[in-house]
Amino acid sequence: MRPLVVFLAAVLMGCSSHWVKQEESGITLYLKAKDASDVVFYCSLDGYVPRRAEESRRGVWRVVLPEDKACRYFYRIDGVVVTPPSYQREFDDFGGETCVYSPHGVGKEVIR
Amino acid sequence: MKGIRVVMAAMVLLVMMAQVTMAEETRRVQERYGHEHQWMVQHGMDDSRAEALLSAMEEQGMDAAEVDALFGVMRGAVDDGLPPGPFLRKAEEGVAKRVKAETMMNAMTRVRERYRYAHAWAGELVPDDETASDVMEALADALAAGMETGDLDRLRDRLRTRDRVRDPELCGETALTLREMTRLRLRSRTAADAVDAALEQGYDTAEMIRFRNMVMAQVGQGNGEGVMNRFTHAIRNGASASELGAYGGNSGSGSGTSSHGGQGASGGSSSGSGSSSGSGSSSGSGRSGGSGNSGGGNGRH
Repeated sequence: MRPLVVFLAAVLMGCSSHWVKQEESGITLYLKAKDASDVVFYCSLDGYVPRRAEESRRGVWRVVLPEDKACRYFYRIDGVVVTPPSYQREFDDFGGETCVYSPHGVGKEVIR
Repeated sequence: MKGIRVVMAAMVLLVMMAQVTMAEETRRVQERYGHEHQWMVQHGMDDSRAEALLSAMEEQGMDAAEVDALFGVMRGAVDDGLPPGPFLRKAEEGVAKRVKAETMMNAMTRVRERYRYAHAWAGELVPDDETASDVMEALADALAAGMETGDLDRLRDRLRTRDRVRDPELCGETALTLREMTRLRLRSRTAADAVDAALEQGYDTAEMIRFRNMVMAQVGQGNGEGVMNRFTHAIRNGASASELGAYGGNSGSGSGTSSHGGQGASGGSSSGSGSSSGSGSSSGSGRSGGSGNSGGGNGRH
């Protein structure tokens, strides 16, 4: 089952990249997910309440962090849990990984 | 006109029915899991978050026995002096990822083991409870990122054999450095070797901070191991933290991090270029290490 999920995640992500920017609206996370139709963001700051990401341009999804504080986060792309390559990460104890946001990651893009 | 009114009335009725159903659901969950709800609120969780967690557990098909077992692990951990926060956050993450009850239970057990170990490690070296708690959090996070207990045992012994056994600040900065290094995907042994070398060479608290800032600025995902091995070698040969820039060079071969607008990624004022073996763009050129306590804050999340 797990290899299938990983494969699906890879297909959904395509050639993905992920970066964090300080913008007027706050700390903004960008995710390239070319063929995605629904991207939902979850983070530890608000108890992992689902937040729908908006497509800022074709295939690039953005979401603003609720607070500029260190946190853990992941995405659900078209229903599949995805942790894109990020500047920092942890293992999630469920057999996968989770992204870690820290101010050090601002301005860094991760391409895989 | 009449048709519109009928539709409007039907919509209002539907909304009211949905509200009644939600209130009923909330009441049912509160009745069934009253103790669990109360326990979470007593331990600092928002009422609404506690309710949302229990409702999600039920929605995802966890039965009363499974919920009881999960809370049993949490209660036991708190009775042993561990903080409830990491367990509650793990439960929230688990329901958001829709994991099965068994997987959730295994995760809780792992969290408990991590915190037990980190609690003992910090308690042994740091007398002040508040600082020990910060050290415990940083170590538990490092363990979650891949740090191994064997390597932490080695570093504890190193700290014990120094005269700074009672230097809680150095212990704290050491723990934070390990957390940031493992979160950057460095192997446990690589991180421990570097920190061990720094402690052996007599790095104090300020130098440990400079060292961490240097690591944060220089180690990306591409050639992090190579950069760290050069740092370790240099430290063993007597390099101070502020001299390490000459041995770094941003990693940037193939995958990895690259500057992408916004502010720089360097922690504090430390960064460096030196002889680079990667091809990524360097985010700085100075050799000086920062001295502020800015590398990898101490946030809990």
